[in-house]
Amino acid sequence: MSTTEEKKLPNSGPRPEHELEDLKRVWATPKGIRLVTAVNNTVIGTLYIGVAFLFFVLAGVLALVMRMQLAVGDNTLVSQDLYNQLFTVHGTTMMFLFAVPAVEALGVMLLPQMLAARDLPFPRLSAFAIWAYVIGGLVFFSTIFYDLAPKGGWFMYPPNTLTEFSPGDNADFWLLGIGFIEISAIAGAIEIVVGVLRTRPPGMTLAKMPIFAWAMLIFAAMIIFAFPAVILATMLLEIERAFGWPFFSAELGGDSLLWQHLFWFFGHPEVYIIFLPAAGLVSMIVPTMAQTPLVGYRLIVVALIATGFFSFGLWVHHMFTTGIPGLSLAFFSAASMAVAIPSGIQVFSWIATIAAGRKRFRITVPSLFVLGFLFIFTLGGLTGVMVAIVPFDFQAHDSYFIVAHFHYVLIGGMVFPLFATFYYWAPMVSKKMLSERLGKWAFWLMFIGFNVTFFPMHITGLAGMPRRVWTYPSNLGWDVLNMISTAGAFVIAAGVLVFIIDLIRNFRFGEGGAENPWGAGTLEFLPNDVYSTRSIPHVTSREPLWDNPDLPREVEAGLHYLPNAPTGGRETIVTSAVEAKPQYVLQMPGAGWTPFLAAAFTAGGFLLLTIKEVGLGIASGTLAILLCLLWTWQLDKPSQGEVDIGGGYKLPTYMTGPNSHSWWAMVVLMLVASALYISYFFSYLYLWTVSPDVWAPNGSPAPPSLVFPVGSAAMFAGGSALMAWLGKRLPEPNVRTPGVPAGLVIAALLLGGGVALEILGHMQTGLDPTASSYGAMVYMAPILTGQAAFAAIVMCLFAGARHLRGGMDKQRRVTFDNAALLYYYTAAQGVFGLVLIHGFPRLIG
Amino acid sequence: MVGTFVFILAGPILWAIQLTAIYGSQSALCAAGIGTSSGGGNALVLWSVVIASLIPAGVATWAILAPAASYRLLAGERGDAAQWGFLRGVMRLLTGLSILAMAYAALGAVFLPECASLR
Amino acid sequence: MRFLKRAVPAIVAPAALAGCSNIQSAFAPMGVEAERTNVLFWVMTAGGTLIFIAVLIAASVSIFGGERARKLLAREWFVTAAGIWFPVVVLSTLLVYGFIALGAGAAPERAQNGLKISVEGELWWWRVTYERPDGTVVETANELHLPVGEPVQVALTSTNVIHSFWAPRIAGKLDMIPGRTNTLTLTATEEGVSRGQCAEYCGGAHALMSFFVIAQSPEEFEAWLAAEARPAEEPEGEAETRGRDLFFAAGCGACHTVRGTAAEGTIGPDLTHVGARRSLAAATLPNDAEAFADWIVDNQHIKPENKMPAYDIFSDEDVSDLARYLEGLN
Repeated sequence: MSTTEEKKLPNSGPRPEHELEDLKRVWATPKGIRLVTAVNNTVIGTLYIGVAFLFFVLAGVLALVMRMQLAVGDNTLVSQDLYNQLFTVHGTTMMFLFAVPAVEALGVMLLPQMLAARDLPFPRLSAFAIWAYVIGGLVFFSTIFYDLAPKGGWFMYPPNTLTEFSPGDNADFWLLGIGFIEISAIAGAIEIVVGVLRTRPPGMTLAKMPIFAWAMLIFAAMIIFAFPAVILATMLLEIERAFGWPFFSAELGGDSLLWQHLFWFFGHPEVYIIFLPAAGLVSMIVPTMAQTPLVGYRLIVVALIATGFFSFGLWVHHMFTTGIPGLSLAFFSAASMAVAIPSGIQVFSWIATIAAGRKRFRITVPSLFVLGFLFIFTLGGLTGVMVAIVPFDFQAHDSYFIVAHFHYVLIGGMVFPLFATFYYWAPMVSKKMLSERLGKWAFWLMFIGFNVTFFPMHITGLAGMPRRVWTYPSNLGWDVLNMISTAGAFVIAAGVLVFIIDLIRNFRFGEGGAENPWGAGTLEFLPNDVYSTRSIPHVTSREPLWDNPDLPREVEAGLHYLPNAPTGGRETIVTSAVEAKPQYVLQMPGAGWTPFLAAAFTAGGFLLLTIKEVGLGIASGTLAILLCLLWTWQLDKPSQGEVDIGGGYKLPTYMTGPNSHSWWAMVVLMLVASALYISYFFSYLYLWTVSPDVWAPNGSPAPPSLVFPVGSAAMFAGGSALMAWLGKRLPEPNVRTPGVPAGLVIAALLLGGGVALEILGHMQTGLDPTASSYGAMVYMAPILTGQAAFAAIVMCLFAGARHLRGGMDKQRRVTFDNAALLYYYTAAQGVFGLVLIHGFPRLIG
Repeated sequence: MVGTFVFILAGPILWAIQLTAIYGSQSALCAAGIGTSSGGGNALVLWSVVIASLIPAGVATWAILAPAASYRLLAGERGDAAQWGFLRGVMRLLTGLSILAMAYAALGAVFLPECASLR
Repeated sequence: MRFLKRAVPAIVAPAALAGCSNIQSAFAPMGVEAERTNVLFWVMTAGGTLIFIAVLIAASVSIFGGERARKLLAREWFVTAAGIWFPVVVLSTLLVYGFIALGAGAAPERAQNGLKISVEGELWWWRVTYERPDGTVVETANELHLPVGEPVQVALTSTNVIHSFWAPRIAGKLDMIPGRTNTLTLTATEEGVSRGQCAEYCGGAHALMSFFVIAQSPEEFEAWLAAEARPAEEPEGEAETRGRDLFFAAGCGACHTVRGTAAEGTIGPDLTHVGARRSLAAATLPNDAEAFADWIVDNQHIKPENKMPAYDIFSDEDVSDLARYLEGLN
């Protein structure tokens, strides 16, 4: 920066001394047992990543047991039944309890710092999602110890997982346990979308966003569209198991392939959901180690977005051997080819960046893990192209070749970057760096062990060994290869063990670690404390720390935006989504018991239902909802007037409408709900194409008279009109009128009534949900709408109650606006469902 | 704001529309047996693939050739030049990749009978 | 291509097969589809290896290379060329090759000989049914006989869970899905015995659900089928006769069929000519009297969760006689 001209900074110094004390007090981390009430992103992020790593180790131990069993043919170390549980829990844990939570944890932990925000916009939601995951995950995993673990494979294909073939609670643990962890993942995704788009520092336009933020944005968007498909699938399967509604039973018009479509519509993007954030991390580490900006930033952004999209066009490539028409397979083979190109772009961008450094690429532990990732991931990508070629997949599918391929992609593509991350970003949350010496040991053991384990599996698979076999005859030529793989697995384990030793010796949680030890250019290496950065910098480039070496001192001296706590509570700046212009100061909640307790009771509710303790389960769930209400009651703080954040910005402290962060979160939630409903819509049409013979009017009762759907639609429309009318006539602050809650109650009744009328209509035609897949699908529509309606009704009543207590009026109206948004969405979805359920049979009849 | 994102994502969105249209019509027509000949061919499917590919690919090509016009259509007035250069570059490359993906998918219909399982 | 086909397996195969059998290996094709896929595999492996080496070289140069070489790699055009244009060319070519290979599975070579074979996936074994042009139906289990050189259509079904029929040396796999019938065309190219296995996890004893494929000359095949179609022969020895009586007395006929006798159960495998098969319990045990005896008494340990109860009510002598009767059904 020029020394001749005085720099124009947002604030002038020196700052009053109390500011720093205020910040420290406001953002202080609770101590002792109250630590579970903490919501600071570094605290809960570290807990999150720690628990995810614990699951990685636990699932890894299961893998070691499996490798011991497979070391030689005809082995009897592990029983058939236990082995089937082992691989199910290994896969499920690695995918749902390790991989997705781990990358989401990195988002929670790193994003606020990278964006120099004080915290994510919904800190308590993060805390809730994390605690729900911790409790639910631990209980789910523990089922392996008392023979209650699911044994249908992590993909849980029906009919094998229907009650007929899988009696007992084992499969239910998977369905409810995972369904609930998916919800926690979605909560995290909403947080990340709003966080990345709205809490960037002033000046950080889309084009200046760190690649990791791009990756997390796409990651979260993918979760929003992919996870609802598997949530619907788990709902359908659990309903079939519990109540016998035949969604997947062929003899009653269901189809087991419906599960496969829904599962893989989630399951394939899932692989990229795991990989993209890891690729984003690599794109952060490589430039630092090369000490040069990323070559092809724009290309990488394109690659991330393209991967995110194309990954939704790949799901059928898990179904190449199901016998569906060859041309259908060709469409998905084509998309699998297309998705390879973005990966190529990224690999060569990293190589170019390494080459671009003025000095040579620094070989540190993070760089080693990155290079190991490049090696392994490239190989996995190449075998990925091979299995995308349909005829080859006929051989490779469900053989050990696939086991080799996806471990190359997932361990190479996610675990190695994760370890690089551990070493690279440890100073953000630890007072001490991790050891370079131990790290190198860990790397080489893991890298060599990995290749020794998984490379031979390519050959094992094509030599004829299928997956998921607990034993094999020892005269088929697989013994030597399996023995090599087993030996390699223990070498990997040794590497992980060295890392754990390193953690124990060197990881000390707390602020005050080395400042920018690698010489990075991005904001997370600004001086940090509990409040994140002292002031929020004005950003003018992609590597602000390189382009302005004075920035850390300026920020620390409070010379940038918001160097204090003007409202006396926790707050951060909300900026516009594209240009990152400051819009308002967001008042955020601090530590509290409610997220933790709500999570505990939510987990309790799900798990009690799993073991068929329906009464206790419902009680626990109700308690969870009450706690959530208690928690939200404390939110939506009133405006504190305008505050000056520096740089000439006087910002409001309360925001309603389309600029409000909570409006955004609501919209994202509606996207989740609509993705769920679109999955349902697809399922309805899909089962019709499979079994037109059970669809009304061919084999089932004709739909009820049009009076019912018209009545329902009128109630939905009337309720929506009432909400809109109320929204325009909310009273001024401090004016309380019983008309508001009365109107909200009427609206709630209309919404619930519309759903109930629809169900009644079908019941009076004698349609039986257990008799055919048509009946099951018909009742499913109002059930899904009823779910959304339940939430909308609770929110309406909540808004009404708040009005009576003086917490909701014409100005402070976010609770009402959110209820109204969800109300309109639910009504629209309800009407869409009515058109489908009553229109389609008449159309084809 | 939403328009800006739609502008960036125009190509992939069109690709998604194409895939939904060709896969949806192909699997529905084949499952219902409408228009399928004994050898597994189905002219109806072929034509729907051709039409459902040409329209989105055409729109995508237009977006690449006329980024300013499509931005105006979707998002209104442009911001500063640096931002615009980034948005336009990302959009063009993404749309190019999407056209390639659309071509790949449509290529299957050139080589393969529309409804046969080919086993 | 020819060279590839010979040279590359020569390098890798020894490691793969390390002094062992390749009876279930896709590397040793003996069917039209498996041969086509094997060529595809080696072409892709060779190409993939070259690309992988090129990436490693580029990465090494970027780290250790000289100033000028590194400058060359540090440009955005290098990313565009190596990351976009090169993959587009390679992937487009490969995609077309893949489509052509996929299309080669199309109709022209469909079976013309009038023979209909169906294989049903059971828990956890294979029910194999041959329907001859004259309409006679012959049921057997866990063994598929094929006439060499003739395309044979095999209908694959299941009435329980999803299985997948995979005989790697003949062709790739195809799933057996309740409510659907998938048809797989198999053409064996040389005589010989190979092995196949269920490739879709089907619960419990999935690992122990295998079968043998016997490719034989058309004449031998016809002779085998004619023999298989005959009813079971009456036992001759004393022990065998006693074994037969025990078989009926213990109610084995409720689940098993022995054509020509009163045993007409259809839950378990048809035992009419069980002694002539290559294995017991879906390629879990060899086929001899000892194995029969073990199976009757101890089947829940040999193949846990299988649907046949363990018969420990028999004395050693009973078991031995039963085993001899069953072994004699050939």
